[in-house]
Amino acid sequence: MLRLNRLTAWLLIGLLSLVAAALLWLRLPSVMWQSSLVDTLPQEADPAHQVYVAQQQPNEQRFMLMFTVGKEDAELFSTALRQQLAQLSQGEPEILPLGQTGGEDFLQTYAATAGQWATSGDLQLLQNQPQQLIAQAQQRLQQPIPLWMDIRQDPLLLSQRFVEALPDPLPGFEHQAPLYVRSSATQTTFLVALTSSADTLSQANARAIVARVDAMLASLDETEVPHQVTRSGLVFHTDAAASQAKREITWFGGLSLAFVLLLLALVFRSFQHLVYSMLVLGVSTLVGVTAVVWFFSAPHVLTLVFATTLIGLCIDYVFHASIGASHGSNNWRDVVPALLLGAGTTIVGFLLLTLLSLPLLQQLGIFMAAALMTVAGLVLLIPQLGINKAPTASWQRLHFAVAEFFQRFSPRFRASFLLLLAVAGAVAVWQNYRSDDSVRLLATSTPELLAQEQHMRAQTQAFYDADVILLQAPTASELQQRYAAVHEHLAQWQQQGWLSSWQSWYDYVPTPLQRQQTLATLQKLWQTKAGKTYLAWLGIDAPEALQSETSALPRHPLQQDFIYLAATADSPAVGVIRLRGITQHEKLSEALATFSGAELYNPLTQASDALGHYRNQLMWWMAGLLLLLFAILSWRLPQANWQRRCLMSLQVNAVIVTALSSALAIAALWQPLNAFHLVGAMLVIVLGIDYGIFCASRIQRGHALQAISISALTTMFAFGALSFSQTAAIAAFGTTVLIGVAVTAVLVPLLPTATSTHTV
Amino acid sequence: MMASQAVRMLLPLLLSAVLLGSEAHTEEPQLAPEVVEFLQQQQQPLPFVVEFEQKRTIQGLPRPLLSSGQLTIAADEVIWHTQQPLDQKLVINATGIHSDEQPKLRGSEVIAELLLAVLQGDANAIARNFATELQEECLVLTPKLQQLQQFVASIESCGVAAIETIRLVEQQGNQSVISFQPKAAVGVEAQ
Repeated sequence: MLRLNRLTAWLLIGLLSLVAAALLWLRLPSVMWQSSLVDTLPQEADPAHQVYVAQQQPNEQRFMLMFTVGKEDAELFSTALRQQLAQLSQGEPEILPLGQTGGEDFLQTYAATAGQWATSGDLQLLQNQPQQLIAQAQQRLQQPIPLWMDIRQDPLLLSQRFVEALPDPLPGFEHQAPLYVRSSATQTTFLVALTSSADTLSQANARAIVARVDAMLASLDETEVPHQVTRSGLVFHTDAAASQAKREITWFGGLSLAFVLLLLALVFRSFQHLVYSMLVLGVSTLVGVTAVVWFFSAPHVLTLVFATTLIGLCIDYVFHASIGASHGSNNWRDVVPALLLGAGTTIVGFLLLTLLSLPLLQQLGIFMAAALMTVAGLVLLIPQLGINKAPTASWQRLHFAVAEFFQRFSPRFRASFLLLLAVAGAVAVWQNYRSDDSVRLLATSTPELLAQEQHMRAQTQAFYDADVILLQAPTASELQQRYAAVHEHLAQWQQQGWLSSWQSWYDYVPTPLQRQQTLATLQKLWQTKAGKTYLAWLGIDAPEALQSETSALPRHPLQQDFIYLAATADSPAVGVIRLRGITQHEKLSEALATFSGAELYNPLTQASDALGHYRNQLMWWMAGLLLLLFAILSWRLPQANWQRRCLMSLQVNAVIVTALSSALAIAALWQPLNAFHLVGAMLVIVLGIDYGIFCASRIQRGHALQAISISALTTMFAFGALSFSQTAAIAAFGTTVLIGVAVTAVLVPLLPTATSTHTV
Repeated sequence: MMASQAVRMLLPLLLSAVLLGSEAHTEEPQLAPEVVEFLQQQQQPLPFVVEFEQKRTIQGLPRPLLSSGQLTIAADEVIWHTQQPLDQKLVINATGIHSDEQPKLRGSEVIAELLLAVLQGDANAIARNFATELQEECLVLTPKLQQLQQFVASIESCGVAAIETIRLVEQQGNQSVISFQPKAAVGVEAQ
């Protein structure tokens, strides 16, 4: 027993907080916080996948607006829209029309390669019917259209033809910068593609961007031209999700806090428990974060999100300790071993997480272990701090009555009942088990926004599927060869109906082989009669013979959108071909498997697989924890002999298994199980361990139940409210906790009690 | 986390800018009165047909390329029919430049708009797209569009009673001088 006075106890808490804060402050500058989903993936994730996902930020910063107006109002609306867009590009955060920069650079690329690049169609003509290309060039030279390349290098105007043959980004729309315009007999559609340099995944930035767009739309409303607006872009979804989360936090958080305050006021007629609980949570979180940053140089922010949720269960220890302390020092002597056993088992359980291969769970394990050690230490100071106000008499009477009621049943009946329930629960969850690890569960958006996305997608060709062909190679030169080999088959796969269209680097640049063939064929052409005649007609000599440089990547402004060169020596060079309308995933995957370094890749599928991996690992962890619990309780419970301890341990396990199975089986009725159900199950199992140990300890049952009720009710309200969240993942977590904790709280009174050695 | 199923790929929108996209017209500019008067003097009743000779000087070529033919200028289109040295017919209208081989030349909308504006003497279109300057018997038009300035330095429309010559000066140093000789005020020939 610690023999400290109140002042010393407070000083200890202060000292601990200061040391933790100092260590955190010392370490923080060298910590690289991770926020990307990539960093939560299993450590063995393919580096090429990581490179690709990490390169998608520019795409996330782009968004589009589409306006549909009656044709008679088109001119008026167009003028107003252009004025508003001009204003939009002047404020903060900066929002600019996409594609207003880089045009000159783009053209220079093709001018610099004049006479070296030809489209595949022109290359065929060059090889088979050069006379046709010559005739077309002669005709072109008669046309009143500017030429922008050096005709001495490119007498056949191949570069100009190459640019004119580039893919049309928005078929059907005419570019009237910064607008894209499409007209029908009755209406005109204006499309605006915008981009912001601000990080649209940041809620604050997303709000600021959407607020500016909203202001622009409000100004357009003032024109009184009837128009329909369609929005598309991650920024709108981020903002909608943030608004939704804010609403939920305000409502659920507010209501559950009000309930907890009301409950504590009714039970204790005092808020000192709540205040101390908050202090314990604060200090333990500080210690947990400090431990994480010292153990991991690149922790993930999601660790903090999950950890600060799970740490809420520590309030349980405060209630047990304070109620235990309120019933005198003898009773406190029974509480301390139970507290230490409960905390010790849970700490070991969380340390088991570090054995898993998932960085997020490893970090969570360290956080929780460190935080729980702190909590255990702090609650042991409760008698010295004088936070030992007993619950009201009516609360005590209620729980003594409940304890008495449950003890009426024979121990044999209760043990059999608990074991049968556990078996039945396990069978039920086995039978009803269905899982879905789709990351789309994480997305929250309004049906209206989703409908607008679909509408935009239907109206434009600016969207590609999440599936891409990913190519990787040790060097840029090798990547070019592999990329080109796959590119040459795209048209064939399209003809076979496997996909509808694509977007490839080699739509903008000829393949190394094409470049080589173009130069070789041109050199031959200038030696032929037709070639010489044409050059004579122009009055120039044959262009200087060039050697094709096939190993180096051609310089091109779009290169960074298709080719991701290795930042480090051990990272591969990665290329991407975007696809649209895939109908035969399996066939395409099989076909790609025959190419070196090529695969059909979908980051959403990979992220979903990662979530599935998390779910499986958590299930193994829970199974291991239950075995560990059985072993520890069989060893450490206060029952007289090992048979009794084993039987008690078995019953505690049975309660937890029943709670987990019920929670998962019932939750599966609403939605298939996923990793977030399992995160909720972590909380259920940890609380189940505590409740079970307290009931199996020498603490008088009525006292244990008083604390368990408060803990269970506050947990159920705080986390159970999340069941009503619009985000499926959060609802999954809340539902599991709500049902699991309720079942645990109802069943633990059935556990037999150890004979108390003390009177109350 | 990606919020939608689709991957958005807007980067190729750049291309439209490269291929001579037009630009914002936030206000309707006005021409100076003397320019308007000059254009009115040049204006012929539409439709009308002229013979033309084009002398195209291209950087790097030792001699200019000559061509000739007939131009039919109507209210909604211009038919540019080159007869020598190669027979070729182009239709220039608001949607772009169309040839026999190609239904529409990619990115030709703006060039088409400029040619139509000059050949038809459309004061509004000229005011929208060009800075203007009168130099004796010529109206010098400089494109306002930055994207167009990459290709076209200026267009000179010369002639008092009618357009006699048009000089198209390109940024690369190329230039085309097109001389017109009125033929007859007849209907637009069948396309």
